Amino acid sequence: MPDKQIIYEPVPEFDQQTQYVMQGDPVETENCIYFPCVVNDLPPQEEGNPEFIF
Amino acid sequence: MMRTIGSTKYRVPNKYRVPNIIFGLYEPPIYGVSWDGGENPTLTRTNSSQGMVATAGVDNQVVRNDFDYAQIYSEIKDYTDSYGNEFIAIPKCYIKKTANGAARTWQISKRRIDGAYLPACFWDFEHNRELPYVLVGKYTANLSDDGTKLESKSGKWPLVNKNIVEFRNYAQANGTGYQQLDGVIVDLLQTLFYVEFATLDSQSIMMGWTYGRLSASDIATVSDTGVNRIIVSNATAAYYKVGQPIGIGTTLGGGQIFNYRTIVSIEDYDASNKAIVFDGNPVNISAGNIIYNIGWKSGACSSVVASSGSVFSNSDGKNPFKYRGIENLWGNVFQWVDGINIIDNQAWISRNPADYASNLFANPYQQLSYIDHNVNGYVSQMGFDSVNPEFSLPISITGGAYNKYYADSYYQATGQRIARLGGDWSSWLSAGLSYWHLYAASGASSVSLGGRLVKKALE
Repeated sequence: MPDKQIIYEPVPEFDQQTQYVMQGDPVETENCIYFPCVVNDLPPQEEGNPEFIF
Repeated sequence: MMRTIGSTKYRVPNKYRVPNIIFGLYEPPIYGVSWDGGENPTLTRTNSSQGMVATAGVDNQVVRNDFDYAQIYSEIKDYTDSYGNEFIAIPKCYIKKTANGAARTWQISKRRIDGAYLPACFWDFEHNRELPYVLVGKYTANLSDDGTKLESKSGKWPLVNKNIVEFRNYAQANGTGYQQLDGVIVDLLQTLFYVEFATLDSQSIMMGWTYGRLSASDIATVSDTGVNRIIVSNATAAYYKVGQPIGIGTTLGGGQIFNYRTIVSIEDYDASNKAIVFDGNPVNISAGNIIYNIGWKSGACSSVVASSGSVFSNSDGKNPFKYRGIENLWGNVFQWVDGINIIDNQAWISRNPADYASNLFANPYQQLSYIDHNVNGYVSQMGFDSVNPEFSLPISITGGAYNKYYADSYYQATGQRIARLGGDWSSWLSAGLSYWHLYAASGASSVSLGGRLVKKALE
């Protein structure tokens, strides 16, 4: 039996400075395995400018 | 493609005639190094680079560098695009890496070695064809006068205070093939350097602009109006040198008074203080204002005669340098590295600039087979993913030091992160070609974070 086709959801539009995109849990159908994308908000960043701590 | 000896179209360099002739065919040489994974960062030359010598020069010093006559290296040339951007063109070549525990080998050749890969900067993803060269920005990138495009031009201050997404957009605004520095190019440059200088300790060859100042304690001791000087304590003045780039702000790196000035003299003021005199229009200085160094104006290495070398000194950390014409490859300002996203120390990579996006942890990005280390320190071991050998990120700091193993620092944090490389003018011995800083979020920017323009040979 041939392997099922793997299909990835195209990356949706997202704000790269405030959001991130994860691969979601695969959904298996009769013909394929589908990987959705999940868009989340980035957590708040640290106070101050972290660039000067090193 | 191999070419037969005696072709009127191709002349084989004498030094390679004997060892590289196989059954009457000429095979391009392989240059290589190996490392046992121990604390000594010195590499053992292998293949055709055995016995070769590479030296970096200072100013107009003429030095011996056998790689100036070697394939690939001798073909690295200056290139200027239609916008006037200055690049270093690197010819198509193949890289082979192996890993056995911590031990590593690197090989580079114009020959398609068994097990080698073609760096993706020499691949046209749209038309599925190889590309003859890649253009790497000669200078730390600057912004065009109209504020729309990333440039690589001499006599310009580096673009800073922009995040990685903004740098990507500015680079792509130049048109087809333009991008910012990425993981593929970093791998190519690291391999070229390691093989040429046979060391992982890049600062042992050229220190770079890494011993500058970025300290909130460097403050004005006197208020002054309409002046081209800042009065500081003798101790503070001792950190600075004529010719260095500076900024002055009410906050460290803030540039509220100015950025982008040059020290023209340092003079006595009174017994306890000195006047640091700078160019440009007069300004008002308040006691407590902070003076700090910044990234050097591009083109400072134009007088360096050797293929690689520094202005004034290769070891004092106070001056710019160039590697094969590429200025300030480490130190000066950090460079954003595209195509690498990290989430909780797990890197996801892409080698196709058309797919680059920050904070993307899904197809078409691919997850590396190893997890980056979760503690800051000097790197002692890099990860190796045989499917993605271009991407070597820190996996251990055990035993690491400024002059051991990779001899460069590593910083990281959990959460969603992007990559930058090399260090800045205040990084001291942390800086170098293996200094991965995987700490910043995609929105981060500062006076010490910059980038480099790259162009693939796409029409």
